[in-house]
Amino acid sequence: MKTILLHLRKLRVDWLMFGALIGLMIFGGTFVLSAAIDQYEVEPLLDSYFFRQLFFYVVGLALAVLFVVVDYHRLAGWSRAAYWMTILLLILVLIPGIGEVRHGARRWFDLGVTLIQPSEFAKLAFIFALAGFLTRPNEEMLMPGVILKALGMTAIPFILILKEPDLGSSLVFFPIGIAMMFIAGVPLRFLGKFLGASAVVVLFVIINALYFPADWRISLTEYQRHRLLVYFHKDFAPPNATPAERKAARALQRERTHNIRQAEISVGSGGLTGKGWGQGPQTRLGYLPRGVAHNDFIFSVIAEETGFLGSMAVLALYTVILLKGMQTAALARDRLGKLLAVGIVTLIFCHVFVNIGMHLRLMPVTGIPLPLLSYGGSSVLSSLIAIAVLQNIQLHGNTY
Amino acid sequence: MFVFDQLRSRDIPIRVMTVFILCCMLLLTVNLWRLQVSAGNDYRDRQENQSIRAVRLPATRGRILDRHQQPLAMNRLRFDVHMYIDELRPLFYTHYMRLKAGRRMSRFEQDELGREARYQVVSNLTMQVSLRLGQPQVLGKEKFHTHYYKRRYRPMTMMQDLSPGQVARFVEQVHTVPGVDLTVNPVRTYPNGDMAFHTLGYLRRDDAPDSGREMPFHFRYRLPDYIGVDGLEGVYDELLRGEAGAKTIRVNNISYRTSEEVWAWPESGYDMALSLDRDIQLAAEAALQANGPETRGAVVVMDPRTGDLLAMVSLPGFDSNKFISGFSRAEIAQLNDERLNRWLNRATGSGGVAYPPGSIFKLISSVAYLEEGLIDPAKKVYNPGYFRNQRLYPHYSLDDTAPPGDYDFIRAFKRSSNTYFIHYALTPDGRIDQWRQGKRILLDWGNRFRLGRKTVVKLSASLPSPVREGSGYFPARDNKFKKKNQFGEQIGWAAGDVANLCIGQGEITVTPLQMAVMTSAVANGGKVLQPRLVKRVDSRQAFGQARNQVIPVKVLNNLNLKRETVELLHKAMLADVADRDGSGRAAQVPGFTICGKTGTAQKKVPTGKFHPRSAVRLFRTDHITWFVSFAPVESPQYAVVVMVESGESGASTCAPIAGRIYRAIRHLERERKKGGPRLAKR
Repeated sequence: MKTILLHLRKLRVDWLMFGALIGLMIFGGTFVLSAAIDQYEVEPLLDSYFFRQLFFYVVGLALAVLFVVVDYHRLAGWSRAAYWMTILLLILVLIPGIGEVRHGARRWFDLGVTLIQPSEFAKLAFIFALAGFLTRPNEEMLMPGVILKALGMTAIPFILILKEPDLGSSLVFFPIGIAMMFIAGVPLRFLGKFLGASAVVVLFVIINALYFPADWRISLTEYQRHRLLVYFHKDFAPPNATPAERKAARALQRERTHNIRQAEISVGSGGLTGKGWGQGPQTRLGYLPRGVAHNDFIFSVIAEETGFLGSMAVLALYTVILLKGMQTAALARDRLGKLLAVGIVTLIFCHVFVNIGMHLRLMPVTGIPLPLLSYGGSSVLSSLIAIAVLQNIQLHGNTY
Repeated sequence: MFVFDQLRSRDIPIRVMTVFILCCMLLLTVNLWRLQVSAGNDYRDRQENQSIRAVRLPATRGRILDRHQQPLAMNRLRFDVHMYIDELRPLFYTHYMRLKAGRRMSRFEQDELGREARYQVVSNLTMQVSLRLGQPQVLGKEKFHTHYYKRRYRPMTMMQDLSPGQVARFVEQVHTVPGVDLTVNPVRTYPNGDMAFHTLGYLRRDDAPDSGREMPFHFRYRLPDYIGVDGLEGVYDELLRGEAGAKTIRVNNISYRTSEEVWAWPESGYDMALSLDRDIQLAAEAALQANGPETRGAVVVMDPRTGDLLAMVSLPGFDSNKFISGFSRAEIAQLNDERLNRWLNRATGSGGVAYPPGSIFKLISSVAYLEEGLIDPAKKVYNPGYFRNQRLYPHYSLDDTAPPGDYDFIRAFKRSSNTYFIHYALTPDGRIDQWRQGKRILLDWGNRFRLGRKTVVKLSASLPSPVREGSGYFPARDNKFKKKNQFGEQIGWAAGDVANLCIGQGEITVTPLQMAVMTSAVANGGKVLQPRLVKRVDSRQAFGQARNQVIPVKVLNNLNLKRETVELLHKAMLADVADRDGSGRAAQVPGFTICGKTGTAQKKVPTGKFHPRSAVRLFRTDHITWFVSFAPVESPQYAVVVMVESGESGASTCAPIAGRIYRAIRHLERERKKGGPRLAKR
């Protein structure tokens, strides 16, 4: 209590970042409301996405205060335990009966009032654990054992989340890990080798999925393959298909491309200034599928209703947070703070870039939420905690 | 600035990463600009394309009225029952859940069950509603599914054209049924059935691509719209049809209607006031029809003072209403009957039909001879019962139907003596080659009466001729050769051809309308009038200037006939009807001084057979019978022309028909005088 008062008196809060945070939450709240505006005619108000989202914001802010106040060194002390905890949860979620299945993937725990997605928290725990692990003298960064251990720490959650399946979320672990290792001083030749090897793997997976005959495909599920086909604008029907098969493939292709096509139309038709809050026909008339408009595709709603100016505002807010994060990393007093900040910035950046890039067809469709804007308890809580940790590093990095 | 802190930072990895993040954000910005600003309009079009359906709204067609504002073609209200499928969605859902009964199903089975549930709900409703309206109907499965998949945003027509009793029952019993509603649409109707079929024309459903006003989108759907095909409906289709409007319907992702917006209201078409008199038209049709059930013929009643067409009949006709309500099998057979050929407008000769005038052409011959001073009306010519002149024309002779004896002009006219008229065409002074003079005079006067030409020229820049007519055939003044014969040979004129022409045979075909113009010209002292069918075109626009257009009376040619010529002709024509030995006496009506002339023309009709050895086409002779007349002689008000194909003779077939028409006119005149003030007001 005493420390809280101390900090408040000093008011060493990063107001710019805090403002960006509030701005994003205002965007999130209003457009989660807009995305499901017809819902309120049939369902009780308190059960709506909007109020749930507000509830998550409040809970998240409370947690954030906690994560600001407690020194990150003390938090890092728990990092290893937290890491293995989340690994355990990721294993548990895979067990039928414990993990909940939605849209064909087993990613959630059902807590009765809400669903919890452990992979969101696993990312945070992983950042803390890796930051803690890489906080060692520079010389050790040259040791292959350390590097391999670090890669191993990255690979465990990656494999578990891949099993759910959630390819998008699992792939996020690698950029985070690589960025942290890069900043920690792992020589580029190691990272280059690793990056080269993984590029070969990724290339093989893509080519395998796109061009190999059906019996020879090994790596991806049919659904993931379809997403790749959509991303590369490939015909679903194999070249030697019969007319009936071709027709079926065409229908499937229409269905699979529907979401992304409608999202693209939503964004594009927003124009410079947008159509006004609650006025987007794509959203209101249900062309943008209602099941995803409020979470993975919330950016479509914002872009349609606020246009280029609104989209730019969102990008600007994220840029403020990302740059603030980089500033935190640059000014961090110690290695731990710097690595934590870089990990968190990479995490947020990956989410923002992949999600918005997906709307612009720069990225394939994945179930990665937009931090703080997309509806979803786990995502909101982990994002708020992540940003709180950035504030924490600033605060506790400069008091000495 | 906080951005530059890390850019200036000595920590190179941090700098690299910051630049990388900024570059990625820039990439997103550029792409957002490309999508939202550069290509924004394309995407907006795509968005509207998928969510907006444009529906064309037809305008109310203008009415066609007769000279006393009686409707000849109008619009009635048709009551249809429509079903709004979007309002039935809750019913679809509950029925679907009932059918499913908690079973587990594959996606495909679910779709099938959904289809079935929808069909059952709609089909039950249809049965329920139609039973209550006393006209049970079964909804076809295919019909429903087609509508559901293609035009879900539109209401579905359940029943069309309710009777007034059914409308009352609907309002009383059905209005509570969900999703079912009564709509009112204007529909073309012809209150007098098949009256003036050829003049009014008919409509056909129009499925042509967009016509009318430009719209910033293409129509996905047209409400039933009709296009005029024949007669006035066809000629003045653009005026009558008005301007179609348009509305857009916004649909959601599963094609249900969510809102509507009217872009442009339809503008109703122009009204037309005709010169036709409905009652005279009806009387003329009845009079012609009384000749027999399969009469093929025409009647034209014209006002010789103005050229107003009071009636224009062509039989057999057809009911224009059937083109909208649909035909029975028997009616299709009627329409395809080649012998009766209902499509021909025999009064105007549209479709290229024209007839030899026969003796009624003696009107023109008489005018020609009298005006040229060729004959002395009192001088008698001996008719031996045939025409023959061994000295001048050894190869030509013709039997006369008139009995032998001495003929002056009036007697020759009323007994229709061919000998008398041929005499003046070929041998007035008994000199050789006088037939060339006869040819010159006849061709000159025939052209002055505008034979061989359409009677109506364009009314104004925007109004084409209201009648579709044929021009018949009449040689030009300097004509050298006759029409080609069946072997394609061109042969020059001979005396016999001139003899034939002066009695209305050979190198001449006319239409009843042309004959009405000719008769009127004789009646009114030489003014060749343009027949007037449309008197006025009225815009029904509520705002702005009324764009009414009155069609003026038009004299196409003034013959400036001598008074003596006119008086003598009137006298002769009067004698033709009034005298006991006149050929037109069957047209007599007590108290009406009718002037007339009968005609019986011979027409060669191909039998469809050929001579077995020479392969020459074989012909049989058919009679075209005529009666041209006007009345009353003191101040001519009506010119009546009757033509019947395959009649017996002008005297026995056509004169009685004209008599019936005059009787009806006289009756009407008396009636109207009685109810005078009421009619005068209109």
